[in-house]
Amino acid sequence: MIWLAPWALAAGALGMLGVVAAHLLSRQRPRALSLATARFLPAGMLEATTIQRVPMDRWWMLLRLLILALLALGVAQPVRTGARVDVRTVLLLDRTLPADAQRRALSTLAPDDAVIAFDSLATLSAATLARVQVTRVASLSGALGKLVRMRDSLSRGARALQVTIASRFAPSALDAVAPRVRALVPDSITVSQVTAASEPMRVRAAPIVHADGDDPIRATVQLLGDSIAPAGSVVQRGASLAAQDSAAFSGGATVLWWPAAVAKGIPAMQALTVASATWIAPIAREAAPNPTGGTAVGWWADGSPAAWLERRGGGCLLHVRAALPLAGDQTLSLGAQSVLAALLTYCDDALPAAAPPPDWISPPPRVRDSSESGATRTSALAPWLVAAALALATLELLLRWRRAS
Amino acid sequence: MPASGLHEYGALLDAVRGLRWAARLRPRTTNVGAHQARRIGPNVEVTEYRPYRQGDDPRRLDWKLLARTDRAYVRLAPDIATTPTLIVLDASASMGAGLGGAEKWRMARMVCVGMAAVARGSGDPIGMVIAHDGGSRRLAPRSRGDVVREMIRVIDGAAVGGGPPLAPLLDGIRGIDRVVIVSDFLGDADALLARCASQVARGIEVIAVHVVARAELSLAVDRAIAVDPEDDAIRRPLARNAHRAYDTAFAAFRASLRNRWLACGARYVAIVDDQQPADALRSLVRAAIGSGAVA
Repeated sequence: MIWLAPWALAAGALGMLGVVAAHLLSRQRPRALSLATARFLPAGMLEATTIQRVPMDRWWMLLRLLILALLALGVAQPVRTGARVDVRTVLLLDRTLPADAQRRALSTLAPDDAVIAFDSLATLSAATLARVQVTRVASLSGALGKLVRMRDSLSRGARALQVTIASRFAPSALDAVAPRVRALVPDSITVSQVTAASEPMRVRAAPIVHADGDDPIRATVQLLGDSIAPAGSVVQRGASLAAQDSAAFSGGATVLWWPAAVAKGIPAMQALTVASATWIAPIAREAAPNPTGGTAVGWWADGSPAAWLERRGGGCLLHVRAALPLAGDQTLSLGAQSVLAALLTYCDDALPAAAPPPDWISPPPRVRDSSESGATRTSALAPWLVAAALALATLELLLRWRRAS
Repeated sequence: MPASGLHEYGALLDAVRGLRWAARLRPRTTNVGAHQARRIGPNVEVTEYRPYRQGDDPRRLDWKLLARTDRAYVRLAPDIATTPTLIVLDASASMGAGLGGAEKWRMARMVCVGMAAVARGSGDPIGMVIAHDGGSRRLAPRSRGDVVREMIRVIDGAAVGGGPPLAPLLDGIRGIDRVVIVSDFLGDADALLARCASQVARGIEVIAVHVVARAELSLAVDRAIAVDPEDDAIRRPLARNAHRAYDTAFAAFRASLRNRWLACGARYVAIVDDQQPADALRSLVRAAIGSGAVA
């Protein structure tokens, strides 16, 4: 059994202490004594505050304590957690995983299992990869700290806990983390790792970039490495060239046409999603007519298409409707690299020619955190407990009224 | 009468045997008794002669002197008479309830029986009125031998309670030369005093016996609510810091009561319940025939 509002138990305990104190510290009338010469005593207060060693009116006190206890239990909303399970899985879920990876991880959970979500990308602002390893571990530490804090409530009703980490971390990194987890949690907790499914990237060769020497796309392509795209792929900044168009027909290569427009000022943050890659950056949408015969393969966060695919023979021609930010290193981010790599590998046979917008674009899958599970769960016992408390309170009023009359 | 009653009063009756209670005022009755009467009557002890005047009782003529001297003289001698006494006993709740009430009521009963015995020893008719919750019980003044025994029976059968007024009991009393009021004077003291003043003016001897409990004189209780047994609305906190004010107010009340009774020509005797009843009775008799008050 768990409590959806455990603070009510503390409040009820305080209230019960107050009731006991009120019965100990009572303002009562002293005993009456018949005295024929009472009229010669000076008039004064007939009541006095006295501290009793034992509570007065113990039956009334017990009734009031019972009312308060029932009320506190009712407000605390007890929820029966069902039968005791042998092993409860606690999934530490990296929210930066692709949506399908998150779904795969969530689909392995039983109804009584719990999820602790964390966001590793929230700390991935370091420019050097050497520091990324450190920050990844630190980000996971937050989730692990939460796990340790919630261990008592999570282990209630289960003989053992199994911690599963779903992240894009490398297995070696997880292996480094695991001893720390085992050091933090009791022996009954076992840790296993589930990494996100690797994104298919068929690497063939480095794409050819037709752009200025300081064009940000060029740096992004260089960060991707030499074997990121099918051989003969071209990244074209600016106007589409007929020669490249024909090359796409003949060679079966991919031609990525990215307009040369740049965003003016500081545009709003946008999310550009291609397949399972998302790039969040101040990108400006470029208004341009949709290519005839093209299918949308890239999406903005609101579901509108951001990139089109045209099949040209054995190759592909991709149109991107995005103006890159003029300044900054946004194109060097992992998100930009992922989106560019996804576009360059979109013509691979493994990927559908025309993909609908991913489900998680609007809205993303809801992962219910164990710590916020009380917001949606309801207690069936709570109304009965509160009703019993109110009934007893009414009974007390009636008894007091009868006693007074 | 139950044996316990005799046993309770026996020591007192033995102690007051031989005690004489002289009338402070000459009785107006003509019954032969132990007190010097107001009138000069046909007693055997001649003190003087005076010439017969028209209107004198011919039976009081000294016929032998008339025969010897042919002068009509009347024999004069001081008469002795009885003093009909009425004892008014307050049986209100204040006399027997609450703190010190039992001792106060016991002392009041003892005083009544003792006075009755002393008066009866002088040959005086003795009567009694008991004011209690249900009204009053009256015994007409009599001088029979068993009047004291009957009084004991009536007193022992009386139940203390309520707050009956005493003043109406003095209305219409006839043939009484002495009235003794045994009370704590916490009821209708003003009305009673006014009624007694008029009785004193009529030549009736009035003796006020103020019975006070020792527990009332020195309170030894605190942390309580003192409730007047005759008036439930009077509720006062009985705390230790109130004792001094209580003592002052109660002493002032007793002094005022004493002065007012004396001022109206009555006798005033205050007795405390821890006194020996016989001693209290002797002091009462002394005060009754003495100058005024015994406190």
